Amino acid sequence: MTITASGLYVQNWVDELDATNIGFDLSLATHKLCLVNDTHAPNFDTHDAFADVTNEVSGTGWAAGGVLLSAAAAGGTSTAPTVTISPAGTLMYDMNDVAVSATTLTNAMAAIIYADALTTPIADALIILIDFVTAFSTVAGTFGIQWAAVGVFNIDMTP
Amino acid sequence: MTERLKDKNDHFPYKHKAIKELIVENPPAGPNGPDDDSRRITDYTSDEIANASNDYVTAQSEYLKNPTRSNLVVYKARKQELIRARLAHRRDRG
Repeated sequence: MTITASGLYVQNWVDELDATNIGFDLSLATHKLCLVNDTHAPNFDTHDAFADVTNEVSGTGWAAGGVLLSAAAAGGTSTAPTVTISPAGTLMYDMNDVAVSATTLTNAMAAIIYADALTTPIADALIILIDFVTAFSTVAGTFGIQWAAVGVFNIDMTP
Repeated sequence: MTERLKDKNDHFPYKHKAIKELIVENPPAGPNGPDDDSRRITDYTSDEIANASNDYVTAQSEYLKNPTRSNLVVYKARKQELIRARLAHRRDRG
């Protein structure tokens, strides 16, 4: 059991905010969401690229590398990612619920969102890992993620 | 900015008609097969989310093509409407 919490990939967020300016624009629908099982051991300080992702879960209806946010919502529609203030003083990254039909997947313990279209300076830069806490499987069914009211993640910027 | 319009693959334009029809049909959407109705499509989306998503993506497209202040105002307003639609859906599902 190596996934114990969700987390942002710190180095990439540092690089987003300083002169490195990697540019992973959270409104992009070209980001991908992939799945990992509980054998994956995330390191939020050192992991920065999809190449660091191990123990990926993929299968029928869910290719290796994950699904594009542009087609991961119900009916293959876009999850329409947003970055907003919600509530006051809080930055929220959110999107429509994920619902990918006709999948067969085993023991997905977490989702990782990464910037698939980015090639430089960090190719496929990691953004966030979301811990499901309990592993989920599907058998020719819908793999769904119902986001909480507080979004995919939020940062209280006026604590 | 217009480079962003290349993030298509169903983001631009939003598949509004298709999702509206799917919501009306509301088929099973559970994890264990096509007939598993432990979840339905409306557990993952709503008519309001579909409409707000369409408006948001359209406004985003207009802003990216022509980043004027007025288009930015509309884009931000549509974004807030989408947030409200999502919150309402999540509140209702408990």
